[in-house]
Amino acid sequence: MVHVKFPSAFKGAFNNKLELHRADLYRVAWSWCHDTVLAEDLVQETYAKALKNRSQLKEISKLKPWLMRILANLHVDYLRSKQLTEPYEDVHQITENNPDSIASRDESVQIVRDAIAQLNDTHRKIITLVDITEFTYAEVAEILEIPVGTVMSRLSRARDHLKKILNDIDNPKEKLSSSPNILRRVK
Amino acid sequence: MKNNYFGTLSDETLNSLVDNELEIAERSELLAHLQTDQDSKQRACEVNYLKDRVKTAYSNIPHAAQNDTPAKWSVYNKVASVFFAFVLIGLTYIGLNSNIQNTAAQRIVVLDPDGRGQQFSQQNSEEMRVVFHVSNSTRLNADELLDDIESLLQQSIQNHQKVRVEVVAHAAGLDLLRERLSTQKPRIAAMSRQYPELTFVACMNTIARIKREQGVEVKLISDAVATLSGVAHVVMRQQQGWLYIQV
Repeated sequence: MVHVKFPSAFKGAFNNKLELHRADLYRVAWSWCHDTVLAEDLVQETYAKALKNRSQLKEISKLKPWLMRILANLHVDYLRSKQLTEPYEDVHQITENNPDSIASRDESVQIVRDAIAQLNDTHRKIITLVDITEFTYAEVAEILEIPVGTVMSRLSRARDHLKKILNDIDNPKEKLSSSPNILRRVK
Repeated sequence: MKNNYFGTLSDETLNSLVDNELEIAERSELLAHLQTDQDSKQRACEVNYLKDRVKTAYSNIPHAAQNDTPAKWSVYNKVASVFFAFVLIGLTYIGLNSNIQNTAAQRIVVLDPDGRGQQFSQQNSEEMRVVFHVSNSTRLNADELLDDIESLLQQSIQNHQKVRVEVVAHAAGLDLLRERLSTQKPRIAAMSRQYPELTFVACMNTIARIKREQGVEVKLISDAVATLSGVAHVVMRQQQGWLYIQV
């Protein structure tokens, strides 16, 4: 894990405002990777980058979307660096076996997290940004650097996909009975 | 009200409604349309439910630091937390008693109507935001409720304190905002005109349930706006830091 030591020159109002968003950044990062250590790393790297490039922030009121954009770019970099050789499900499976994480969630919560984990990265990001942190469509457009219309169409497809996945998880029997390739033992 | 919505609504439109992306007038118009478009209403409720599930799934997440902390330090931390909590309570008590006049405008005592206790809520932002949750008509003294709200608004305006108040009515409390049953129509209309900071919000789930169970088409007073779920709206406001008062 990378620990950032804040330079004294940056201490003050900017840092205070940075700290206000740490919990939200971590929550979103974790929802993208479902891995506590990776999420912490991404947030720390986001802060390091934010401090380094703070002059690029034009309006302090846009600090949160700006931080979230840095986080999103870092996450994309991470996925690229892994070159998708490690399927997301593998990372997810490792964190699922953590006793602390298992104890802290109920079945319904776990079902939703599993469904989110099955989405592709584009859909996962758009749903979590809108639903968890309640960014406006305009802010999400800014964060992901896409037009607002694209946010709306992607969100629509992402929710549709998530609904289908949840429906399959909630009603496994329907899925089984509709699948022609399932072999059943006949007594 | 003119209705610009026809036929089956697109997913994008319903998402915009649920995600609070519409202007108030457009939102009200769309909600009015949904009362006659059962298919779209059902889809809107499904989106709302999906959004709530996602939000809930990530409201309490694990932290790496928690996993790394040795057990014995957890115990020390708990003891220290309790100690500091006592110190904090003591200081707060002394502070409240010595500066009661100064702090009165910055805090509100929330009295539970069932007498289960009271709590102090500290206002951190410049704007005081209060949501009144009206869910029971038999216990509701509408006159008294509106008196209290008016006093709050007047006092805030006199003190140059920014304020926003929402009255969210659901279940039996919806009677307050029903065209046929409300005993407070003229007063609600007058207060809505006088105080732009005040909004009366009706629960669409309750309206749908009344129609389903009693076959009654509920008509709201013209000063009310509608939300998909009154309870979800109140919960959202609490999460946003609004002061919650149950009526």
